[in-house]
Amino acid sequence: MARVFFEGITKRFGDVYAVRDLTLEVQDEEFFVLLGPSGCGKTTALRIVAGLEEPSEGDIHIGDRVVTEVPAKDRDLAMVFQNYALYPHMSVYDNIAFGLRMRKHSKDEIDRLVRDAVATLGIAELLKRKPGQLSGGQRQRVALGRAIVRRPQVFLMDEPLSNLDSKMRVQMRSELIRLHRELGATFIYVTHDQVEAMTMGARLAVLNEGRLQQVGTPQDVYDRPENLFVAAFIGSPAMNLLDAEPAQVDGKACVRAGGVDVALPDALAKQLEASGASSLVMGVRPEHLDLSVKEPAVTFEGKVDLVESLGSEQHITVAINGNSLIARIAASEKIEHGASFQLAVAPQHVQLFNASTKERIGP
Amino acid sequence: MTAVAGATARKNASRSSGVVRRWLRRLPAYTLLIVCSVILLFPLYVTAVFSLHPLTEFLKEGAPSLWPSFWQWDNYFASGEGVSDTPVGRYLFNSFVMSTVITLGQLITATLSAYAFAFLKFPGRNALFVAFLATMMVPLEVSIIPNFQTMQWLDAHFTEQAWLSWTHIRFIDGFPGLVAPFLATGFGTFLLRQYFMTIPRELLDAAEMDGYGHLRTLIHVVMPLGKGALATLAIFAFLQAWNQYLWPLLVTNDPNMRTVQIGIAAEAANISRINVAFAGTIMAFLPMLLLVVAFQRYLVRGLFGGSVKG
Repeated sequence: MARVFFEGITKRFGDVYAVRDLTLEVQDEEFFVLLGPSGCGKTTALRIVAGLEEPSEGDIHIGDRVVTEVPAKDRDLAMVFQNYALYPHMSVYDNIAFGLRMRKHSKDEIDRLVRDAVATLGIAELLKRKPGQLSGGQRQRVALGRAIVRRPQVFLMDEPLSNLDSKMRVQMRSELIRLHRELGATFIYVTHDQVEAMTMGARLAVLNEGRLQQVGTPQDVYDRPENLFVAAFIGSPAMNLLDAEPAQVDGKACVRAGGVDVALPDALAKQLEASGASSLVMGVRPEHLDLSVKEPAVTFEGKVDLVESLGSEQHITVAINGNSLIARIAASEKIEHGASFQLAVAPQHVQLFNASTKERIGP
Repeated sequence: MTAVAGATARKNASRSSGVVRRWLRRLPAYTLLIVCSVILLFPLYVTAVFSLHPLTEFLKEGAPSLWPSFWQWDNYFASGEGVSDTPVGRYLFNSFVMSTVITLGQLITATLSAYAFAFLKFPGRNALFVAFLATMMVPLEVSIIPNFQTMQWLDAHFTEQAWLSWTHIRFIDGFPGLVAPFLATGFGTFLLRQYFMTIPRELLDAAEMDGYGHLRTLIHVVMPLGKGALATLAIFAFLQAWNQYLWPLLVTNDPNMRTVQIGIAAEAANISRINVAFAGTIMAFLPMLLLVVAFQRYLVRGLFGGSVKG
């Protein structure tokens, strides 16, 4: 059982809070992602699990043990570092065997374990090389080999793919997913890259300024961001956010944003009323804005400011009453810069946030 | 055809004139370097030539010749009259032991203290490091008297007190006295700390995760990576120890404990063997020359391939 439980973890460096009161449970054998912008405390949180940092407050549980006071080497976990941290003066073999030598394995056993690990990762032919003679992807595999050779219960990964080129990153992403499936261990994976977080994590936690913002499955977090930070952080291009205020049209609750009245679905209207919020932010994902939607729809009008073609689709920035909206449109549509343009959205795709608390309103 | 040949000739001409121009541009720098080299190497050359002269060359009128007239290798090797016959062997041995022990001592103390200053967090770390640096500003001449008094005091204790005298440790006229003040230096600590700080922190974290404590991390990770810096410190320490004059002069009276620098100086005072004294000087210098030539690459090269993504 290798569930990892953060119990009220706080970490201060002088007056600066790196992590604030983080309580979080990672399930046994789960692929869990800590996601956030740089400086949000995700790496510090990981280092606290690793035992490389001591929390100022709170406890770390691994399995049934409280490990806060347990030295790193006795926590039964392995870490993969962002820059790989391979020992440059040792061969690949020695790099992988280094940790085993401390653990009093016999020479034959070390040899067997190292060969198992490199076979899993397909780097058997590199054993005699030094890290300096390896490509980025190979170094990454060696770093993984060093982690898996000890068969730990928990793997900690600190942005392990961020130093790879984009093609290699995609390949390693799927290899990591496969590795997780084969090893059946708990993975805690730190990244600032939301694509990695969305594609790899069974669940993810979004951190900002040391505080936990939201925990959930990637789809959950994407569909129902709990606050404005998560809404703006997850998704590329980012969610369109417009200042809005509650209004009434024909006795029905709606919001006024970008000069347009948006009628709300009943459930959302009720929750808006219940929240009593007076100033709002309305959010719409770029893929929910289109040239036309089946009725009922709300239409924004403006001028095309920017057309970015990605081959498979295009991102259109439209200026609307001092705001701008980004829409994902099929590549087949001919859209010209400066043209008048209409964007439609179905009301059920509208998300609302309280502008003063920055919290989500709605189901 | 001729047009092509003409163009080629012109190209060749302009290429060779380019070479000439490049040489002309470098000429002042090379001239300066050659002049400096001659100034630096001249005394060495004179010593080498004089070490091969027969004694008569020094006794005749006028200055001794600057060319070896008669290659008298006997100054070095002949039994009964060459360097090999003077206690120079003993001097060299003394210098070698003293320099080796000082070098090893500095490597050990500097490695440990530099590791602490570079990687450990402890209260007063910065203040202590500044204190270490401050010792670099204190010249030998300032500390030499108190150091000598300490050695005298220690020597007296070790010879007079029954519970110490059985060790036969001597601080005057003994190796302990020759090496003691130089076993730890601020310079060594500073040099290694600066180098250790360039080692990526993750390597130490990785070693910690792998279960290595501080001492093992130092031995298996930091020292192999710091090989270049350790070699640099070793060469500096050895050279400095080897070339010491004032301190060995002060703490040794017994001719048997003389280091080569003092032994040669004493030898040079004997005019009847001046050529042999020059030969002795060359012999004192050769080990240093070999050391610098052998380890020169460590003075320039760092060892970093592939520790981090490059």
